[in-house]
Amino acid sequence: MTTTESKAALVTGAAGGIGRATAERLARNAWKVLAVDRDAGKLAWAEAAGVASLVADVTSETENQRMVAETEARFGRLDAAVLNAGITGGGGIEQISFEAFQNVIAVNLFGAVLGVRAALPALRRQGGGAIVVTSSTMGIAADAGNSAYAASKHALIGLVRSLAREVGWEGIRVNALCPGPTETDMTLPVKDVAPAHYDVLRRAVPLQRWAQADEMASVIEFLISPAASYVNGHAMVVDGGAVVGTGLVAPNAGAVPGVPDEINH
Amino acid sequence: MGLLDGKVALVTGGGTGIGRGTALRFAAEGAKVVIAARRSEKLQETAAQAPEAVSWVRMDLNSPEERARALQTTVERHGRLDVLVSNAGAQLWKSFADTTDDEIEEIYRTNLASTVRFIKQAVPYLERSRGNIVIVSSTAGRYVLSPSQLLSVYGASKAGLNQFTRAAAPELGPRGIRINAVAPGLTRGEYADEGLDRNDEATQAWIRSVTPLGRIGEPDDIAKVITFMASDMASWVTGQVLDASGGWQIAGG
Repeated sequence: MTTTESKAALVTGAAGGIGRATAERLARNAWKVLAVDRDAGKLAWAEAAGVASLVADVTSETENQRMVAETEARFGRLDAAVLNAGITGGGGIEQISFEAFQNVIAVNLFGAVLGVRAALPALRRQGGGAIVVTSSTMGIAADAGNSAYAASKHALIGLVRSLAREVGWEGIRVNALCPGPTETDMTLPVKDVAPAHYDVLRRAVPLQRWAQADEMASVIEFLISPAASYVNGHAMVVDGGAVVGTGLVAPNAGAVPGVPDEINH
Repeated sequence: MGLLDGKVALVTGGGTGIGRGTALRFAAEGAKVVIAARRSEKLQETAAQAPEAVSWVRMDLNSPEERARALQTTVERHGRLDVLVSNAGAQLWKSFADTTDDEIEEIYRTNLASTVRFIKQAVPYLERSRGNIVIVSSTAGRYVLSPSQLLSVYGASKAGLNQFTRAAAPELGPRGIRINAVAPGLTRGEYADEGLDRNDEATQAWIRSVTPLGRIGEPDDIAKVITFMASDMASWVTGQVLDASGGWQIAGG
């Protein structure tokens, strides 16, 4: 199912977490990979692993174009774009600064928009290809104090569904990955800063743990592979089953955090 | 190295279409497969295409005894059960007003009640192997798509399976079992359905016009997605309904 010889992919947000795990997995499985991030220091892993890398900021139109041109220059082609770069931006709607809110949208939404616009001409040159955008279970569900992030991730699903109908005709498939809580450089601070929140999220998952980044990378690999040749416009939730419910009820304990006992029983 | 090396699977409705495609792809990925359905000759045809990996047992999904026998036969032959692909079901493309009471009973008994009862019978085996279940649902179970007037009765049966998939996941997860569904769009079948001959040129042209990928789904398009869901690549996926429809579903959301 993973006959991907000589195919080329670019992965944004590849300094760590899901992006790095994806770049590593694709490289292991015979893909040619360009790992892209704005943080040069955190891309050092790529050089050590023999994976090509590029420092670029996804909020810049010209840097998105440069990242695609670099992939084609190195590998002669682009078959898949994994647009994974993203930032968190917590805080209530009146607490978060408007500038911070705009920044979340700029990176998470406009970064993907620019990435798609840069990648499409290169994918057309191959007669088709695949795009995967990293959304979130916060692209489907929502929580208090996280509106900027949730708005950006909801918007990505609208983007993906629209594009699936817009460019599917050209043999280009567009899908979204919606990870649940995953242990990455971006999210692990939660464990130290808010251990109770970390534990609430852990207990909301039927398998009672956070995901590892490679458990997202394997689904991204599937979505860009020929195995998913008829999957288009899908928002693929990968969360151990957490959001099939409200996301609040621990499967074993049956307790609802934050709800008074008299309601819970 | 295959995605399902060493795994044992039971595929219902394995004589034709998506079930046959799934059995053969599972075999190619290293699994031992038992296929179960009503028509022995179709089962034999499928098994003959990969005789070293695929064997068959006759099963009527609506018979509790035959369901139990299919599970037992699988474990007797291969020692375990890792994957249940619940693909068998009844189809109905027909105006709701024209549907008979018997047809309504038959659709819900087969697609919903017997499927859920079969999964219940399989859980003890899957708990031992920390296995998983893949239900073959339908785009019609979630979206209202032209010609929706012909799919209300059938669609409701698949909607029931979708919700069963979601709601059973938190119960099965702590027991080590994943459960997911795959929702095919218009997929080539062995026979023409009432109200829609999928092999007819006019229908093919219509399918191309409503499907962003511009073609009808082939059984292997769906089999590949079922293989992914059944494999360790989807180790963190449970309670999900995965659309495999070439993008047909988006317009009707």
